[in-house]
Amino acid sequence: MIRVENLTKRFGTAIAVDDLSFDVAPGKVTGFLGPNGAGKSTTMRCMVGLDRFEHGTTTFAGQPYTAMKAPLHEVGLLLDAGFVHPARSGRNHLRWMAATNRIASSRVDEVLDLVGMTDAADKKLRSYSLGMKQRLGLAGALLGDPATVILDEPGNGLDPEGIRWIRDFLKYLAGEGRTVLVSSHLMAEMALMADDLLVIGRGRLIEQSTVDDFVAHHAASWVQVQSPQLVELAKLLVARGGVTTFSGDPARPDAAEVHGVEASVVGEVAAANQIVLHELSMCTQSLEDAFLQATAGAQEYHSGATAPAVASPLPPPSPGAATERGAS
Amino acid sequence: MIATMNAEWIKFRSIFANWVLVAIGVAFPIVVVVLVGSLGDIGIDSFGGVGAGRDLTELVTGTSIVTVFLLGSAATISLTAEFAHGTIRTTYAATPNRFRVLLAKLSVNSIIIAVTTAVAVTVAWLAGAIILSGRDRSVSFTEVPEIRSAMLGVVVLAIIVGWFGVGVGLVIRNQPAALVTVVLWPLLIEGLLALALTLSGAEDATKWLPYGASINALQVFPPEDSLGRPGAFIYFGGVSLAIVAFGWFLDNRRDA
Repeated sequence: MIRVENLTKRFGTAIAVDDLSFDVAPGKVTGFLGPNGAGKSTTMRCMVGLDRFEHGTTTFAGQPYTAMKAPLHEVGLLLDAGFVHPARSGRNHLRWMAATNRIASSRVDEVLDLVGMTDAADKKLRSYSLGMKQRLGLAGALLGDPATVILDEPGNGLDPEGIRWIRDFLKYLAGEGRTVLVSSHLMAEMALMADDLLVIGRGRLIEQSTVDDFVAHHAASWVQVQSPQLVELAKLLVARGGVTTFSGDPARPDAAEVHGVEASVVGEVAAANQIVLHELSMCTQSLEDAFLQATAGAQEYHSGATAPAVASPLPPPSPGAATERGAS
Repeated sequence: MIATMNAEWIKFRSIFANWVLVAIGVAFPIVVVVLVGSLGDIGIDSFGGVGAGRDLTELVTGTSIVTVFLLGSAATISLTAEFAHGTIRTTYAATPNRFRVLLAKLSVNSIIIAVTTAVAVTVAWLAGAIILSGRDRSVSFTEVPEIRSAMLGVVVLAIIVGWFGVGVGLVIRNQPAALVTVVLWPLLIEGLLALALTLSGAEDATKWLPYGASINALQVFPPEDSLGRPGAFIYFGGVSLAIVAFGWFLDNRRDA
């Protein structure tokens, strides 16, 4: 269990973390999201006392990190895989870490094996790829078999196999009852990995909820329908009420997106009126869309140039504007 | 504390460049003493006939300054490399008590420096003594008690320069800047200060330049108007520890 209360950190006059409070529950993977410059990494560093902060407290199972005698047994950290001496071997990097907390050197071999780095353990770290450093960093986080794991962008530089491995591994750790807090920019990964989300922007908490609730709250959903009797179906649905948008696709004249009603309603209306359906599915925007929607006002950095326009297969809905292109 | 020291020892011995510095630090005075002892006029009334032992000792202590600065640089790097590569965050995450980390670094560096310097000066002196004996010049380690204390002085000075390096590294954090400061302060800055003091008529004040005072203390018979051997080392040691304390004060208020 991690508890952060009223954490405030300034860099000069700029507020990096602004009175931030949240809890991270054990037994779950909690994703820590925010735009660039939102204060995720700073928050993580403040939580473990690496960065000095103005106000606030952080406790791990009731204990501040800086009060722990052997913190690697309590909290496993991976803040930046690049924090290694290039002239040292991976094994020696872990050995000195283990020595600080009186962890047996046999555990070094165990975690190296766990992250699949045994063969590269005696190579100098300057020869490691970013993905290898990430694996080594994860090995370091697991050295003390901690009850809490905090990882900052652990998927950076990992290949698809590595990303899948880390996802499964973090879920496994959470399944063992550990507290897992992980930040990532890989939204698709986060959607698959996380149970809960912490979303911050400009150092403030924007939302804390489950992934499903977050997506339901911030992402649009609609019913994708395909029918040879689309016009008739559209008229019936609009007449029934509740439909906010019924938009057709010129490339697929027999298909449309229906916003404002559930798929079950569309199905019932179609069945009651003997309308043939070739497709009936509920579609929801991705976590990435929900994230962009939720943090739209908290983006620290904006792209200067607009990307070339690409026709989106999932246009955003127009709430309140009932168009009936498909019905006309 | 022992665990933190053990970690610092692993950090030191797992970097090949540290062993290169140690090897050069040990070899340099030995090679110079062997060459000078074999080819030079060491021990021939160069100190008014007091004896070759004193002559040899001052050759050893003089050439060991290279050892002192190589090991001082290693001590500086032991800290600044952590900032340069970001491992200080892993270090402080593993040991949140920053004072304990500092104490472990000072202790491990002091032990490494003491052992290395003691080996360097002892082997260099013995090598010189053997060579001089072969050239019919009497050399005795017990010729005068000051010989032993001057040799021990090199070890003490090396440890103090190590503290100085750690302190400067803790204050500056930037590796090149810290190394330049550690080397240039004694070799250039104090020289310029001494020159300025002399030109301004305050020559007596030059004895209060910390490194200069310690260099005087490496002579078998330190000058009478100097701070004396214990006084010089206590003074330079105090200055170095004050810098360490200031560095610790800053470090405690800074982000890792």
